[in-house]
Amino acid sequence: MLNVDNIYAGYGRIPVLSGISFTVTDHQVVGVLGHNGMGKTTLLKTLIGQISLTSGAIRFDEADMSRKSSFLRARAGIGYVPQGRSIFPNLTVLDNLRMGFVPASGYPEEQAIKGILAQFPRLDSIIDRAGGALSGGEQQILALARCLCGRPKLLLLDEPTEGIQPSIVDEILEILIRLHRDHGLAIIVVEQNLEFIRRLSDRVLVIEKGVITGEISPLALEETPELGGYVSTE
Amino acid sequence: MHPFVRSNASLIAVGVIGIALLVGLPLALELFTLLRVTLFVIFAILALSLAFIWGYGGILCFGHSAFFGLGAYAYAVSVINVGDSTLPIVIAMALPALLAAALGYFMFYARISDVYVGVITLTVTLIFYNVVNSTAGPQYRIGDVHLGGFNGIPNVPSLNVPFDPNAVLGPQDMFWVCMVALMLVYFGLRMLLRMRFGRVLIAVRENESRVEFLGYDARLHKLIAFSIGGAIAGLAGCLFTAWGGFISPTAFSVVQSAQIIIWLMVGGVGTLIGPMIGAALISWLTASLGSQQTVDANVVLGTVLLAFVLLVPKGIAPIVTDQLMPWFLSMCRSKPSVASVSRKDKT
Repeated sequence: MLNVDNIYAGYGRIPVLSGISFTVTDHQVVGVLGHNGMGKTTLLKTLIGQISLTSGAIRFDEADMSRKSSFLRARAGIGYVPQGRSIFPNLTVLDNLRMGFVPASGYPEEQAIKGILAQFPRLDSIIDRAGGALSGGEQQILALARCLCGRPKLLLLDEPTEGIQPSIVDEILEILIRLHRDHGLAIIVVEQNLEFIRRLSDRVLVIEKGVITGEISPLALEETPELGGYVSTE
Repeated sequence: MHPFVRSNASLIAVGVIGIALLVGLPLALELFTLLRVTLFVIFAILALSLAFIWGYGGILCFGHSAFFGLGAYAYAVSVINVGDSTLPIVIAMALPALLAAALGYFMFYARISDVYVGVITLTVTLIFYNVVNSTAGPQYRIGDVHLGGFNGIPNVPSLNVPFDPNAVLGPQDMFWVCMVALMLVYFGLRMLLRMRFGRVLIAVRENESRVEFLGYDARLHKLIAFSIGGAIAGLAGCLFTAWGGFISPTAFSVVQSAQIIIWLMVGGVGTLIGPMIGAALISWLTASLGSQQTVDANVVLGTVLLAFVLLVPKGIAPIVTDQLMPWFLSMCRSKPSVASVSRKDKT
């Protein structure tokens, strides 16, 4: 599904990613672990096209995405939920969801939104509320739901549990597990919450100084406490 | 109240007010005042064009008079050459739209935004101003029209009935045409903003990257909005020239551009009704101050702008809709009716 081949990227002249390669197969969930500032968010931003590649190639469903704009990557089936939710605060929940629906997808908008509300019943009761008036957890759920309105094949999640109360973290986790199990959604998740990444991921990549230094199984996260060193402690 | 009426109350109110003004003003006002009001209506159309691209698209165009002036000159040159105003109206809208599309393409696709867009558009209008100003020589002609440099182009024919150059519109007809044009532009923009295009445009204003992550081409949306704004400004320029029968390079001036921004700031950026009110109010104030010798008009206008920026930064329309209207409605609800009071007294 996704083939990342020796990519280099950064901010201006400052390199952040220095030759990252990995693949994500259909229906696979890949977790990415690493200290702050190691390039996890930059990796996701590069995959969605917000940061340009210096060299290397990104192929998605056999199509070369390396030089394509973000919106074309999104239309190809890559969904991205950035860090900090990034909903539209002045639009209502319904309008936020409508924004996630892309007309080119070929199925009716109302049907897509009904389907999403069935999966996210919490949003149904606050459908007319402004996005900015929601709690952090509700905003995160909305950001996830909005992204899923576009029916992505691969979902990029950047720290979805950051600053969210535990009950909603569990809710998000259950939703993602269900989406992965029932719809075969492939996911790349950057996360500091070890339990979250362990329960969701099929495999976990460890990133250090812009390079992938290893791959571990999710079970190893439970068995090897020193891996906790790859995440920030609060 | 019927749900359709409730959800479209403001649209219906504007429509009713518009029709009332369209019918009532020519009956109530003398010709000179009606001519003045026609000018305010034309300026309201110009204000709407910037209100759309700045207030909803988030594109701060400092040189909006470039499109206004281009529309005005395009109309003047083509109507004198053609003799019939039908095609020149189309040209006066198409040329500024094309300029906006070309300018927007280079700005938005090069990821230029915010203050740089302001600087570039300001530079473009200055270039137009200087170029047109220096076309006084006899060699600067387009067909039968001598551009006239700083003297401008006089004796520009007014609008006529479509395809009938002999049926020239009088001042009262011009008022009707301008009012209808204003209402068409207003309702057209409202309709556009209710569509998916409008929703995406507002989202682009809030955050361009977020919109792209969802699969929308933010730059294309900005480009289309900018071109529509250019076309509307061109229409205002065309009506302005047809109204006055004269156009000069001051149409491209920085003062003209600044004035449009002031109308929006006074009326309220992010609304459509506010800029129309701002344009009419400031234009009326400018005209009234210009007819007296006691106070310098620019000092008063500057003071008004400062007062609005400091005291009413959101402008008139948001203050009325967000604060005064809810307060008024709550007062109406809490105030017992005369009938209920008298019933109480009897008991």
